Amino acid sequence: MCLNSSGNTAFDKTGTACPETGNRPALRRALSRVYVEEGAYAYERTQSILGRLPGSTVIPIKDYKNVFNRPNQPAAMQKQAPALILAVLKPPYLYPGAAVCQDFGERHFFYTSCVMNCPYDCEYCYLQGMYPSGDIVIFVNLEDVFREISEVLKEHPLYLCISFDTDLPALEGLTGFLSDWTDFARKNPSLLLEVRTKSAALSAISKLPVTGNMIFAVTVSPDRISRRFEHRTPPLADRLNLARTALSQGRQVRLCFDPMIRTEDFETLYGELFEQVRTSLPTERLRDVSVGTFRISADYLKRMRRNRPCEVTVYPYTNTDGVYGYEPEHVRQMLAFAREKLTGFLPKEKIFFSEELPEGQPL
Amino acid sequence: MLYLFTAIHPEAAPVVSHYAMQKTGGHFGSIYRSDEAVLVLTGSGPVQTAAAVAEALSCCPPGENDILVNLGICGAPDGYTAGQCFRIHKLTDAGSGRDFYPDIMMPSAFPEAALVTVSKPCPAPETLVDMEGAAFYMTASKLVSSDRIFVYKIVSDHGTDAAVLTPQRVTELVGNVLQGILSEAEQYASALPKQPALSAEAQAAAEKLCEYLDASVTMKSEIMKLAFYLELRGADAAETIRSFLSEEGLSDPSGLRRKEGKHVLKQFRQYCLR
Ligand code: SF4
Repeated sequence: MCLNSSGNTAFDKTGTACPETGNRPALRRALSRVYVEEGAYAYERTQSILGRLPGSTVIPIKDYKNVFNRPNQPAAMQKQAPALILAVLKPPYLYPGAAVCQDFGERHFFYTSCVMNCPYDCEYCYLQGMYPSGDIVIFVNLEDVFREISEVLKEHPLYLCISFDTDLPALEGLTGFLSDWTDFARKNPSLLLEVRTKSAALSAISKLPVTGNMIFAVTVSPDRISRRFEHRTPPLADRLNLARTALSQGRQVRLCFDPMIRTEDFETLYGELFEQVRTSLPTERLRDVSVGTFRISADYLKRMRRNRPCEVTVYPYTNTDGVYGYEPEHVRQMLAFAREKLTGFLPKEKIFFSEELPEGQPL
Repeated sequence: MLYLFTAIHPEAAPVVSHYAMQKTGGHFGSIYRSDEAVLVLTGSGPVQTAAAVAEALSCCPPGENDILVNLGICGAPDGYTAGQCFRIHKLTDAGSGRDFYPDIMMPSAFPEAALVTVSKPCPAPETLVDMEGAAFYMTASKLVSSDRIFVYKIVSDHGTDAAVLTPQRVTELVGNVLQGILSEAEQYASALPKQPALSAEAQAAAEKLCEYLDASVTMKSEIMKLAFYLELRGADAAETIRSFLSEEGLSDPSGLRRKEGKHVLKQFRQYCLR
């Protein structure tokens, strides 16, 4: 089963991870095993998701943590062909945004995880450090989350990121969650949603009614970076096409140049990327852009190095207050380079950086 | 290497003869070995099993890609046929109510089922039951990842007819499916990726650099990590180290004091990050 019928290329038609990821043919199909929490059976979403995965082995479980949090899991292998876990999310449903994430000047910045883990396989992804498993968990009780948000909205507006720990558009064909979130957002104008994606889920997004309080945050990287580090993600042209179409439909679109990955030819690769964005998108219609270099908590990196030693995890990063990143001098150069290029076609106020960059900082 | 675990001798017999194994010891259970496999005869019951598994895994620690297989007979409700073999995807310890889930990463040729592990024989099973599976998994999973623990159960009886089960019949039941089980486990072992490691050439070059820099243990660890990073980046780590030494004019292994060595290490780090 293709994870979604809307152009997502995370898995091929048989559900097997695309061959360029180095997946071995002997592995099971992605999502060919579904663990279902006893309490989740009662939800219509569970039935609808199971209905989209005919032929999968369904295993009833008491609590999703018994599977997802098992000790000693082969997380990197699971990432190639994840099992699916359907569960009921327990409170708290909302979390304050983390310090390493950008708030775009929004005061009440929160995030929620109605899906844990992602069908894509980026080598630098912090989820590999955060979760003990590469399997995907889908929480089927969105209504409970909506109820809590409604309560919070009585107190103050909310800026809520709903696709941090996953890629919701890439899974829309399976979950239909974006459609539910869109309906909810339309009824709650003081809610501002951010949907982060690397997908090319054009038809899934095009089907959604346009609502001004839903931002599609499209992460873009140079193709060579994608091919090297962002396995199974669509190519840049497809992501830009998604952004262009969404803009033409009147949607809020944010471009994320985050994380920027340092390579020998960083300036060439990212210079071409900025140029491609400039020439292929009506950039004046972008809501804003975010720019950041790769950074990760020390605890997450430790687990990633153990489970998946690769170029991006074993890079000799610098530890600053428990967060690993490139050397400050390199960060400054990378951000300054991005600023120089981006201010060529975007007003300063629309560019958000992961960290302060002194005005007029020379390259 | 395969590690096989069975409870009783008639289950073990086909494995011993398949690999032409020799008994090598064991206090809680009996350990048999050949060049290709280890067999542990655990004895019956969860406590015996846990002790024998723990003993075997500590005296013959499994390697990175070794597979642990528990195979043996089980009771089943009416409706199951003797000789049916199942790959177990869920094990319940009846005593504690805890569930365990081996991670089946490769499709199995055998149908899958859940298994309940009890501590004494069950006269009228309502599901597949044995007396070892959950204890085996619980102990094995402390040391081995969940995908490398395989559990297979072969239906031998329906509780009431267990008494007439002969040792020969048990050996026959296991022998009938053994080849299929072994090839599944071996196939998975061969599909497992190897963890990348520093090449011997890079290791030698890095050690030479350590010598030139009069490196402390911490400095040595950093040099090895940098060499490993270079290799994963696709660079020739040994050549990079050699050209660094030559560009720095370092030709005398005992020419630097540690303090200077630290300074040169910083330069080497920058050299690697160019
Ligand atoms: S798309 Fe995002 S969430 Fe998904 S694997 Fe890549 S970095 Fe992680």
